[in-house]
Amino acid sequence: MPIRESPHDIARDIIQRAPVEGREEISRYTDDVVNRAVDYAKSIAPVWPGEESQGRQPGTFRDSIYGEVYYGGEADTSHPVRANIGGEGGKGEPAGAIISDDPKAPFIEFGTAKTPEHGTFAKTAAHFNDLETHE
Amino acid sequence: MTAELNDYRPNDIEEMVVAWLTPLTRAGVSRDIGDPLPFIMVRHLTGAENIEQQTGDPVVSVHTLCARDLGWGAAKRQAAQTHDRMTLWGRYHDTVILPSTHVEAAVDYVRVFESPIWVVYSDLQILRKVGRYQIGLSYVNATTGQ
Repeated sequence: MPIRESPHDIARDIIQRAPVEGREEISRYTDDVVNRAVDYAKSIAPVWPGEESQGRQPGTFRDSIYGEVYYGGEADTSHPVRANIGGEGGKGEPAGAIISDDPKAPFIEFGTAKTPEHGTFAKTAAHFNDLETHE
Repeated sequence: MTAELNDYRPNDIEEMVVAWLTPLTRAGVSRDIGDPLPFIMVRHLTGAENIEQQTGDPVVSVHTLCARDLGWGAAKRQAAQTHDRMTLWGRYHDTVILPSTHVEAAVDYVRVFESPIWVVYSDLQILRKVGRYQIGLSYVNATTGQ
């Protein structure tokens, strides 16, 4: 019997052997988790408390957050900020991510010389990883 | 009247990570504009505690800041050293001496939560790479640190 290299290999094997209906169910579950992660991220995202500033409306960063379900480990990593939810998907495995294309997102997520690191995406990933561990 | 408090809590994770990384280069929880580079900035970002199990699982950000005029290669090497030092901690769980109490502190585990990535910095004369790590801690006596 071959020795498995990691839990990811086992999960991938199960998904590839699952009937089509099973795979659809896994995809729906991933989709649901990602939607909840987007809601959570938006609920903790910082919102500028004042009026429009430098051409930006308050809530621009919060409203820029969206989710994505991808397959086969083919994640698009070109976004300014993104975080995997529930781990990185292996080949052929559905996985979820939350993303922002707001140019200010890296400064909000990681901080600047003068503003603190908010970590909206890291906090969301940690929250959902923790839920997955204790479910 | 004195309120009763829990005698046990996790050690200060920022102090532990700073102590672990200081042999590499200057490290701290904040950096004043104009302070020498390279500099490693450590921030406790999030993470929960389990009171029943007496454990904590903080997530920390580790920012390696380097002078742009030394080039991307030098910054890359410096950031790689930071990451290698953190993953070494995860392999061997070495203890650190906390500067505030002079007591030994131990980690239960160190996991790479996000591998280091380049992140633009507001001061364009600085190159920055940021990695995030989840670190397992057990509660210790708040007075003795053990």
